[in-house]
Amino acid sequence: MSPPVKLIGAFGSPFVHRAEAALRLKGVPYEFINEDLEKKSELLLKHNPIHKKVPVLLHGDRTICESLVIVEYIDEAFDGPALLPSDPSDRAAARFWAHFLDQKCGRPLWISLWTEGELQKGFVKETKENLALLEAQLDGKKFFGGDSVGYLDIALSLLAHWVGVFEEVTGVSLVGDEYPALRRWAKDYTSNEAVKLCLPSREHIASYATAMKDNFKLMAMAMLQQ
Amino acid sequence: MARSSQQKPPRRWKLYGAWGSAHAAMARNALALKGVRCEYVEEDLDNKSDTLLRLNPVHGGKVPVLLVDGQPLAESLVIIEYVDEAWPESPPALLPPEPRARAAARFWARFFHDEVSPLSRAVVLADAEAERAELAREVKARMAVMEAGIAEDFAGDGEGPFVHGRSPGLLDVIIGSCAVGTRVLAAVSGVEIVEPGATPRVHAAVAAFDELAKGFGTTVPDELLLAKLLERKARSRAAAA
Repeated sequence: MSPPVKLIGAFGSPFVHRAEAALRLKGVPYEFINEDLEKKSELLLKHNPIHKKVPVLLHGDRTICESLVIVEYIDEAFDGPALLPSDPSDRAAARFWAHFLDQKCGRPLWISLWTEGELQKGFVKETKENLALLEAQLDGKKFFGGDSVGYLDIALSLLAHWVGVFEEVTGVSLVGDEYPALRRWAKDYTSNEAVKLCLPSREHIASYATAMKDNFKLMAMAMLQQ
Repeated sequence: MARSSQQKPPRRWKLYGAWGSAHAAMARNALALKGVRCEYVEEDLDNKSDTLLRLNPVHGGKVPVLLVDGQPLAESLVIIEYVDEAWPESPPALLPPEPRARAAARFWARFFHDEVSPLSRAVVLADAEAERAELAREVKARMAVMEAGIAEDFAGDGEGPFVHGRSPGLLDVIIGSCAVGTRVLAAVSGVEIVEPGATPRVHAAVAAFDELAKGFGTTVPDELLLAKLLERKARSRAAAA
């Protein structure tokens, strides 16, 4: 029997969701350990001393950090439906677009949401260009992974769920009608049986975002300086 | 892991790289290690071809790009893993077989890519000598973190000289392809970011890989790379002024 699986996470985090979605889709039972990110536990600091971030996967005596590294680990260590496609080119494409979201999309997206006026415009334009690239990647498929939810869908889950809530809270429209495939994908992803079980409610995200509005604006301004 | 034994290797492939680009060298070295004879296109990063600008869908003009049966693949880490998976019958295996070791390799690859590489670039770009030294010390500190992590995650049976053991793997390709870069950083900052005392395993792996890579035609002379980087820096300062 496989050793116990624990996930150190923080309720509401899209990065933690990636790990949970992978576990749920593979049918792996796990214990969720919720972290107070304002007051990090010894457990978290011991298992992720370098980044001090969630999620952290504990599988027996193994520790895995970094959400996408965790997702690939889950795919490889457990039986169940494959999360990454089998063809090497398709696997490479999935990894590329996941990397794209984290490295290229994240900053302009955040600045688009949490700044205003002239500063914001260029970033909204950039975000829309990024979304158009992802829209094109769907290319008639139900999910980025094909017929079923896969690695890239999980990696892009921020766009399926969190961004919509942030748009409501801020009044900034990003994933508009010009992205029919992405909008349909977002509905399909968030209504998936396994994924649903580990998605924080829209209300939860909305109240968190509203409470953190000023902090988020400061973060966006800081990003502008980079 | 879903790995079909009926996969056919790609029929045509072509790598776009650039002289002096460590990331392009990583891709070239991975292909060379696998014994894949690859058509190589040398790009001038100061005068990029239209082809290259179109190829990378997101970062038009960045190298490396590996064209596989007409499809572009970008990002050095993505390309290295692709090469490992597309030619599974060709040793060495760049990723280890066991999931935990694979996760460790990916973690440290990202650590180097996200925490070390950008800071290294900042060292060269910094104008003041004191600033370069300070930044280089930060790079050195991160390499020490990596050294400790590698010692824990790749303890193995003490086989070397590579991180992954007797044969080079993902992390060796990555840090090894930056061998000349480490020497350039030392030249501009006065700080050795990799050395036998502070980072023995990393140092040994970099040295061994550098030696291996001499046969691949991907290494560039230190002085020439330094000159090129300084020239580019001067030009961009002039353009910004």
